Formats: sequence, C-alpha cells, structure tokens
Amino acid sequence: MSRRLLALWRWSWIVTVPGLLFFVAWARSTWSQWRALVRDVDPAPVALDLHGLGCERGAAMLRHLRLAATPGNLADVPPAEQLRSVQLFVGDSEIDELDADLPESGRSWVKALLMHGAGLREVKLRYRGDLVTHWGFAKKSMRVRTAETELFSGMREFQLNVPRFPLLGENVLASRLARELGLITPRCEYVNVFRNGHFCGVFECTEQLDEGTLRAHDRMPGDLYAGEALGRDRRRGITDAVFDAPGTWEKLAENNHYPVGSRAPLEALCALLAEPQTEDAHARLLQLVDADAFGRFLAFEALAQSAQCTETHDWRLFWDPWRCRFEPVVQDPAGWRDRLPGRGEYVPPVLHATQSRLHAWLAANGAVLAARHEALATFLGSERRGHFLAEIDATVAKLRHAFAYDPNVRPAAGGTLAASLDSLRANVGQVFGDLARTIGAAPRVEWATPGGGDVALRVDGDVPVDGVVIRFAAPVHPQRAAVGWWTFDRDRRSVDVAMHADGAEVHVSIRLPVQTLPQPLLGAATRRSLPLQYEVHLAGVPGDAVVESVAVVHRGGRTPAPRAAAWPALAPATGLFAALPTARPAAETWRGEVVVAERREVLADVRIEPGTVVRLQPKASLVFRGRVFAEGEADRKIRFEPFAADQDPWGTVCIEGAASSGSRLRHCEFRGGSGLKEPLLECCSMVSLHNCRSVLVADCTFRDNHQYDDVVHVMYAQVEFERVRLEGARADALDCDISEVVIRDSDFVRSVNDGVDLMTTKALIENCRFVDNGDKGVSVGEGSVALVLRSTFDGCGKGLEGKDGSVAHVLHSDLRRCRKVANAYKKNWRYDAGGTLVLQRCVLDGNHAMPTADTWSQVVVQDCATTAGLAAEYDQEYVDGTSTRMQNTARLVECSAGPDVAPKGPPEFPAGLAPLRGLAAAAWQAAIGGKRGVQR
Amino acid sequence: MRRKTVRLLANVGRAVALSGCLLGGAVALLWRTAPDLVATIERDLRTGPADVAADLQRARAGHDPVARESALRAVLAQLTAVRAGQRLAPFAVECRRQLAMAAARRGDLAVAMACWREAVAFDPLDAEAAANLAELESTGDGAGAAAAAERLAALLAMAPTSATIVAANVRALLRDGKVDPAIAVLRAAMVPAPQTWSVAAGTGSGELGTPMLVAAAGTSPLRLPLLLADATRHLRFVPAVAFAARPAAVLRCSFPDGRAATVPAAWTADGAIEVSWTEPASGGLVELEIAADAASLVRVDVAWVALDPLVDRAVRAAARDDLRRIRAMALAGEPLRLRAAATGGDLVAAPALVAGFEFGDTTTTATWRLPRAATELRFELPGRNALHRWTRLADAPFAPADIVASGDVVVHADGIEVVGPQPWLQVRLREPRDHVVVELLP
Repeated sequence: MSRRLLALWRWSWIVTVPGLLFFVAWARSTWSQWRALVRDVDPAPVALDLHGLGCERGAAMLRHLRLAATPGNLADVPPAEQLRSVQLFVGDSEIDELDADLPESGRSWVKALLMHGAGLREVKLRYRGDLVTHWGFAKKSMRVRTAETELFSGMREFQLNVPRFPLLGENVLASRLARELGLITPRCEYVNVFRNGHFCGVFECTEQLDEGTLRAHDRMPGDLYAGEALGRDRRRGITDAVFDAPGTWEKLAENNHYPVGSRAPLEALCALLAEPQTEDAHARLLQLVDADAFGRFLAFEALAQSAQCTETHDWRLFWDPWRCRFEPVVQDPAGWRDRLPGRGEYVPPVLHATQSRLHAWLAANGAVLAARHEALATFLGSERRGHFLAEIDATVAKLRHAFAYDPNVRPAAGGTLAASLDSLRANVGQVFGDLARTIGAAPRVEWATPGGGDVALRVDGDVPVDGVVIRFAAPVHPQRAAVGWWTFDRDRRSVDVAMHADGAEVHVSIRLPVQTLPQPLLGAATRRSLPLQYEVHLAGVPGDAVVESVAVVHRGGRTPAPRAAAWPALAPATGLFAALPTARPAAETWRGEVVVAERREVLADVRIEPGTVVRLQPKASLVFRGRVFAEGEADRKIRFEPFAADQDPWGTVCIEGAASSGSRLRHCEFRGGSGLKEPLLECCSMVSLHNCRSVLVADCTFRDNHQYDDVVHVMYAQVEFERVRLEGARADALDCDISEVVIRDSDFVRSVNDGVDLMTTKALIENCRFVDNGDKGVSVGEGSVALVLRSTFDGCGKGLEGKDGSVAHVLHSDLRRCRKVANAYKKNWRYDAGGTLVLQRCVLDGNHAMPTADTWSQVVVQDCATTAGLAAEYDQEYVDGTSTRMQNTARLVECSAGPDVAPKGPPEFPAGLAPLRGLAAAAWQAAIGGKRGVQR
Repeated sequence: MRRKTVRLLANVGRAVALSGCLLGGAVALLWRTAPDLVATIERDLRTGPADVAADLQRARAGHDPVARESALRAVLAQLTAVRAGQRLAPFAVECRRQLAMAAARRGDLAVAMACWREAVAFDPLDAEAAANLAELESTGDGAGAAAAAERLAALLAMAPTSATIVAANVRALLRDGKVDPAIAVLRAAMVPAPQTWSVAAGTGSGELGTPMLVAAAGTSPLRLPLLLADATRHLRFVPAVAFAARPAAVLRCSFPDGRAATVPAAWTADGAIEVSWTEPASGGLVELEIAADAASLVRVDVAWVALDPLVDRAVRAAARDDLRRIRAMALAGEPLRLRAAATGGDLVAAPALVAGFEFGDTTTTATWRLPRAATELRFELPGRNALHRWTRLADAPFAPADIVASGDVVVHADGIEVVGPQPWLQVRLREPRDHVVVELLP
C-alpha cells in the first residue's frame, strides 16, 4: 500500500503540474481581463463581472485544449456548407502594435495583406468598436481598407466584427431582412476569417457605409448622416440626444453640390421634431421623410424586434436630394436580442416601439402607419416569410459547422451557443407568427348612423380598415363618397374617396388607420390603441335611407361589424395625425399669358391650353407636384420663356413626385432657363422630371439653357420622348439618372458635352440624330443598359461611350465624321468592369478614329461597313485631366466595305440587354433588316 | 548536487504542484457554488473609484482656495495613468475642470489655459474644455487668437444651443468689445426647448416604471395624452431639456364610463411635473395640459448664460430689456430657495420658499418673506453658480462668520461665492427676521 502511495506521489507531477499550469494561466488571464475590462473601464452596456469572466476563461481554455486534441478542422466541412473565407496576413510586429495598449493602440492603421482578386493585395487594418466585446477578448473586431482603386467583393472598406450573436442580438440575418423589405442597408454576411493561415473564427463581414452603399441601392449620391452620442462619440458639454444636436452628426457620404459640412435637411428635421405635434407639423414631416420607407423601417423593427435606434445612437439617415426626402438606413440592427435563450420568459413582440422622438412622431402619423401595415401584411402574408425562415436554417447550418471549429467563440461554453442556434429559427418564427396573428386579425369596428345619411365608424385595435361595405334596406344611388374625421386640433377634415354602388350595397375604398397612445407601465411601456371615429358621407343617398349592415374589408376578407349599442360623442383624434391623405386642390387651367415672378409650387393638377405663354422672371421657377397636361398644337405651341428679352435666366420647370405621374408635355417650347438650388431641393436643369412615371414629352423643343449643366434632367422617373429637339446645351442636353427612358425620332444638336447622358438607366433610343455634340452623342455610364436603333451620330466628339458596368448595343445606325466612333473604359473605381459596346450592322464613315476599349471593357464592331483598322494602343483620358496609354481591346468582326450585311440570320436580342427585353424586344425585331446603317 | 537535495527539491516541487492543484480545485468549487461570494470579493477589489471619489470630495470641500487647489492637484497626481473612457476618467476631468476654474477666478489665465489644454489633450471630444480653452486663447493677439476664435465659432456652429459653448462664445465676443454680436449669439440660442418628454408611471408606492418617450402635441396649451393602466396612481413627466419657466399644469382625465376629472399637477425641484391620485384609473385617457405655448418654453441652461457675470454687466450696460427678461426666466426656471427655522428648529423639514428678484443697475436683490421670524437660514441654490458674490445679508455685509455650514464656498474681500454642482449655504442671523434680503453682485 505504501509502495503504491509512494508511486502515486512520485508520479503525481504528471497530473499536478499541468493542473497547476492551467490554474495559473486561468488566474492570470482572468485577473488581467477583469482589470482591463471591468476595473479600469466601464463595460456597460455589456454585463461583465469577475465570476462571469472566470467561467468564460475556463471554458475558453478547455475549448482550446479540446480543439487541439480533436482531429479534424474546417477543411473537413464540405465547401457548400461553409461560410465564405477571408484570408488576412498580418505581421507579428503589426499585431503587437495593435495589441500594445488596448483599446487605444488598436485604433491606428497597420499594413496587412488580403487575399482577393488575383492574389495578395496590400490593405490597411485596425481594430474597431467601442464596446469591450469588440476589443477585450481574443477575437477582435477589425476594419479593413483596400487600396484606393481596388475593391474586395465590391467594397472599398469593410468591417470584420465579432458576431453579436448570440449575446447581443443578431446582425446578419436581421440585415438580410431589412434588405428584403427594401431598406437601404450595408452588405453583411458571416465569414470565416483566417489570419496568417490560422482560423480565427466566425466574423460578421459588414460593408462600411458610404456612397457605394447608396449606389448599390440605386440611390443618387446624397448626404448620409450618422447620429451617435455613445462611447467615443459622446461629447462632453453637448447633449447626447442626437436630434438635439444635428451639428454633431457625421456625414458618411456627401452631396458635393453643396458646401462640405452643410446639413440643412437634417437641421430642418431636428427643428421640426423639437416642435409639438400638430396636423401642420405632421404635414411638414411628410415633406421631409419618405413615409413608405419609414413605414417599412417600423415594420422591420417589429419583425426583427430591433430597438437599436434610440435618442442617443445608431441613427443612419440618407437625404435623397432628388426625392427631397429622408430614408432610414439599417445598420447593426441587433435583431431578436431579447428572444435568445437566457433572456427570460417569452413576451409577445412589440409592435409599437418608441425609443426616440422620431419614433414617437412616426407612431402618430397616419401615412407612415399605413405603410408599416402594408409592409408587415405583405411580408407576413407572402412566401417571402417562408423563404426568409429557410434562409435562417441554411445560415444556421453553416454557422454550426463554423462555430464547431471556432477557437475564439463566445460564449465558450458550448451550451448557450448551441441552444441559441437551435432556437433562433423557432424564436424568429414565433415573432413572425405572433405579428401575423395581430395584424391579420379583423379590424375592431363598430358603426352607427348619426343621421343625415352618414355612417359613423369607430375603429379600434391594431389593424386598419381597408374599406367598408354598407348595405341599405333598399337600392341607393350615391354620387360620391367622402370620409370625415376630427383632427387633434378639432378641425373637421373630409376627403373624397373611391366608391361604387351595387344595388343596395355601397363599397367604399379607403384605408382608415387606427390610433395608439403611450401607456407607461411599471414594466416595459407600450402603446395601446384608442378608438378613433370616422364618418362616411354618401352624397345623393336620402337622409332617411336605412342602413341594414356594415362590413369592414381587410386583408383577411370581409367581416361584419357590430352596430354600436350606445354611441359616445364624436371625439377628435388624440394620437393620430395625417390620418388620411389631404385632398388635392381643385385642378387649374392656364391660358393666355401666365407670369411667374418667383418660385411657385403648384400642388393641383394643371391643364395648360394651347397657345399659352408662361413668362418667367429672373430666377423664377415652377415646381409642379401634381399632373401637368401642357398639350399645345403644332401652330399654337405652349411657350416657357423669359419675361423680358434681356433678363437674367429664369430657374427651372420641375415636375416632381408620384402625384405628377402621367403628365404630358406636347408642342411646348422651353428656352432661357437655368436651374434651381435650394437647401432642400436641387434641380440642375432647365426642365426637371423627378420621381414620376408614365410621363410623355412629345414635339417639344428645348434650347438656350444657362448657368446649370443640363437642359432636361430625368431622375428616378419613367419618361417617353418623341420628336423632341434639344439644342445648344451648356453641357448635356438630356441627362437621365436611375430612370427608364424611351427616346424616339428626336434631335440632339450642338451640346457642349453630351447629347444624352445615362447613369444607371434603361434606355431605348430609336431614329434619333446626334449632331455636333462636343463630347459624346450618347454616354452610357454606371450600370446603364441601352439599345440604340437606326440613329445617326454626325460630327460628335465620340459617337458613344460606355463606362462602369454599362451595356449598350447599337444596331443599324450611322456614325460619321466623329472624332472617335466609340470608346469604352472603366472610369469609376467602384465598379469592377468598364463598359460593353456592341455596334452591329452600322456604317462607320469619315471618322477620325475607330473604336477603342481598355482592359476592363469590351467594344465589338460586328458586321459593319468600314475599312478602317483599329489602333493597337491609344491614350485613355480621365476627368482629372490625366491620360494613360492603353492596349486597345476593341475588335472588328465580319466587317467589310459596303452596305451589305454579312450572310447570316437576323441577330437575336442580346443577352446583355436582358433588363431591356420588355421595353425593347419588339423594337429590336422591327429594326432588323435591310442594308447596314440607318437607311432601310 | 547530492541525491538527497535533489530528492528534497523534487518533493517540494510535487508538494507545490499538488497544493496549486488543490487550490485551483477549491477556487473552481467556489466559483461554481458560491457566485455571491465571488461578487463580494470583486466588490472589495474594486475600491478604486470610491477612494478617488472620496478624495475628490474632500479636496473640493473647505474654505481655503490655496488648500483646495493643492488637494485637487494631489488627486490628479493619482490619476496620471488614467485615459479617457476609463472608470476614473470622470474624476480626472473634474479635477482639471476645478483647477482651471479656480485659476480663472483668481485671474491666472495662463494656468487656466494650461489646465484646459490638458483637458482637451486628455479627451479631444471634451467640447466644454475646448470651448473654455478657445475662449481664453481668443483674448490674446495674433494668429493664435484668430484661430481660437474660429474654433469657438466652429463649436458654436456644431452646438448652437449648448450652454457651455454659447457662454464661451458670448464672453469671448464681449471681451472683444463686440456687444451686439454677443447678444445676437445669446438670443439665437434661446430657442424653444424640444417638446419631448419622458413619462414614468407608478402605483404611488414610490417605485416608478421604465420611462417612455412622449412627444407633446398642440400649440397652447401643450398636451401630452396617455392611456393609463389600472394600477397607475402616479405619473412623472420630465422634459428633455429643462425649461426656464414653470407654467401651470393640470391632468385632465376621461374614462370609458363617461366620468371626467381634473387633477392638479405640481412642478418638482428637479424640473419635473408630478401628479398623483388615489382612485383607480380604469384604463382612462389622460392628458397633461400645460398652460403655455411651446415657443415660450426656452431652455433654462442657455437662459442662465445671461446671468454670467460678464454677460450680466454687459446686459446692465446695454440696458437691454429682452435680456433682463431672459435673466428673470432663468431664475424662475430654477429658483433660489430658502428654508427658515427658529433657533434650534428643523431646517430640513421647513418648507422651501422661492425668492423674488429685483435687478438693479449694479446688483441683484433676492427677497423672501417668511411666515414667521427665523434665525436659521438654509439657502439652496440652483446648480449653475450664476449668482456669484453674496455681498449683503439682511442689511449687513455678508460675513463668513455667519456661515454655519455650506457646500463649496470661496471667500472674497467683498463677499462670498458659492460654487459647485449642488451649492447650498446655511447661516445664522444675529437676530430673528421675517424678511430676508440678499444682495448679489455679479
């Protein structure tokens, strides 16, 4: 026995020495971590204490030992089930520099290498994040910046963040949900990060918010504001309520047409939110914020149970200078934070979060609430809900594999993470289900007949009414219907609504929103509904007509409403403003001579009679918010011209907004205008068509613009131009951005720059003439897709130019006497590729130079009439005045002298023009045939 | 080495390893089974901030300015390794701030600038320090002064309603002799306070629920409508920014059964409105009605800039009625209170009386009428230190010997100055009075 004990004692060191080392290592690291993360700094809002850190360290050390002892690694996981990998290489000295004195030392950039594209690229790297979770543990959040003209997966700068999941919510899937709802959000995905060949673990790869994010969402560059007053963004001596201090917001992207640092839109919004709420104030709010976008934002917050945007932080707002509205941007949403295991009992999802003053206003705005309900109902009632849940499953499967080998996962103890992964989908599904039940229920409505043929409705609950069906005892013949309500200010408002009668039933289509009010509680506060009364008035229905029943129409169908036993006195709205869209002013008719002395905003629809002359004084502008029917005649044109012959230029004629869709301009002449620039509105052309659809401009002429670049500017719009003439533009004649245009039988003559300039636009150009334009006949830029048919380019600087991911096909056209036929290059470093131009069955004659293309671009001249050869090299010029000698990658295919086409069948509609198929396929077919060139 | 020695060393090593393992096991057991004990140990370890707080409190107390500064420097010396964002950072900030203000009070601008410069270097986001530094640097000549004036203007553009930054800009302009621009800056800052309130509910037991944000509505009166939960018996409304006024407020209630009621609401000393009742609320709709136009509810913190000594002198010299009104508003928003009792009486339990003010050409007079004669007086000042030197008390020059107890007090030749974030002063009159007048000199 003693011998055994002696042997035990002798060999005890095999167990006790490792045990001692483990204990010492644990004690040292726990103490060091506690000192750095708890004693020396305040880790709030992260909850850290000595006990928790000790448990965490112990679990992490055991995990490292287990991973080291277990065979296998991430390479054993099938590639289809793996997250994307990011390979970083950072020198030891650089890592030491970053880790020297955290968190301060981590904020300086160091050099590193990143594997992307063709190989290792130089990048800069630093740590990021104020919270201790970003820098206090083995896995540290990083920011990576590529070289100036390089992109990593389309990103110039991105973050590799320690995943919020499962301790602080979920970002990646929540961001995906935001994108699904049409919200602007930076790209975000889970990735495996390797540093110097070693697996560091799972990170969130998030695009750094900048102009590139806006472009990716088809938004024009504008001001992107970030409101943060927590942690390192907190300024002592200035309030941390971000809406109280617009001057402290950072600008992540800027509209360079305004002075650097200007923030007039944000100041206007903050000033408005400081006022008390009134109907007028809410009307002004709707002029500043995109109600639809903010409605979708509130829907997103409800679906993701995200409450990150507060009075003090996490606000990202994009000011669209052309729509003149703010849109919310979703970043770091921390979705479903309180739904993860360990957070206590499940509580129903919050539908009405009001964690900031902007939320308080939005929750009381009828237009925003209508948009929120629409977004929620559409998402929850469609297959997109199932697709999203399936995406969660797929992501969780990949995460399971990745976390299994993640040496630095937190929490290190496997139980919490596994439980969170197991329950994430169920939790999200439960939130979706609860919300679907809430908003899918029938609206709670009572009705009564207060007399005079009116039907009073009392709407309560969380679900708005989409319409009512009133059944009378006998057939009725109403002439029109109107819905009235009492506003907060005790004004009686009424708006005409659509209706149709079917015998004894009258169907009224109107969305009637509900109102909610704050209800402070001992626990979490909320908003509860308060009944709101509306009255339906049917003109032409006798006052003694008997109403038998009323049913409410909603997404779920039609539900009978009970008749109210006792009807309380009509009460004004208490928690709802802008309940229903304001009635538009009565339509106007202009005739004879109309003088415009200053900026004039026209909300009504306007009919301008033939022969009308609109004379605008210096800097005077017209901004039409309703439809414009300016339809002159060939011999009685409608003219927009200067008031006096030798005066300074007038401003702009702008047709703006969804309510102006369907406008028509025929036989109009525009001359002598310039543009308009105000703090909250910019029109850089004589005629501006913004944010409207189905607009027709026919038989119109535009000339003599001043001061501003463009003659006609189309933005976020869908417009058809027929038989228009644009002449003598100061820069570009027709500038189209993020739009869809059809241009037929039109002339673009003697523009200093381009005849037509396209940016992220779909365009069909038929039978047009581009004559003596100083730069390009047609410029196809930044992701545009264009088809040019049977058009003539004569004497232009370049016939066409394609850039930055754009695609253009030119068929059966003439390109004559141009300095260069065509060019394609990569102009903007944000794009991976340059332009693609294909010229088919064209005549190229008398041009100074043949087409050219740089390394990133393609120009194909196929089956064209030309005998000139292509240059092997050329000088590519850039906007900054520099030039670079390039190899010319343009190609000639099956070209010959003479008009005869090569013996082949008609070309098929190009695959590269697929986005234009609906718009242009028929025109393509019709244009094919006959000789090369314009003439058939 | 002899075998015996080697064996001894080996056994010692085994013993140490075994002891270490046993210790580790005990710690693991403790960690697992007694987390509360670990928390207690942690609390004992984390004494740093409490010690420094106590040192700072002691340093700021006392009547001798030289001793105070010396003590503050000693506290700051303990904090040399502290960085912005760390737990002890606020104490370092406060030390530098106190030292800078003390230096400025005694006219030593060089030391004051050095302190502010250190503060800015410590935390570049310290806008208060940056503003104060720029104000002092702008008083010189040359490019440095011009650059400082530009920095001051840039801070003002960033935060045009920040009281500290407005004050620094206004003072700098006044020192430059630019009275009208200074007053223009002050008036531009006098914007209405934002109409965002946080509202918390309670059952009347003293415990309050989580506050929620509510945006006021209406023009005049302002209204904050809410729905009540049944258990609610108490509501507390706190404006986002304190007003320079105390308009009347009342809670109007309407219930589903048709009942209506009106409950008076009261302003608290800390600028909130509270209202309580005893009957069940039964899910009623209530509206706090404030008898004021939002446009008249200006920020009290900016209004107090008008009481800054330099600004006050300029206001008196310029005889600007609008600024006299601003001064009155500021004092109405955060009044000077007095509790009075007879000799040996309970001052704490005495009701707080609000002063009436008169603004003379050179001095300000605060007056209280007491319900009965008193000798023990406790003055509770608003925390903005704009009422500077107390020169006379009850028809006699103010003597430090009259002070029984106080917060932070600085003694000058012509009076005393009460400073600090929560200034208070307790004095004993030589004879009972029912009418107390205090003369204040900016």
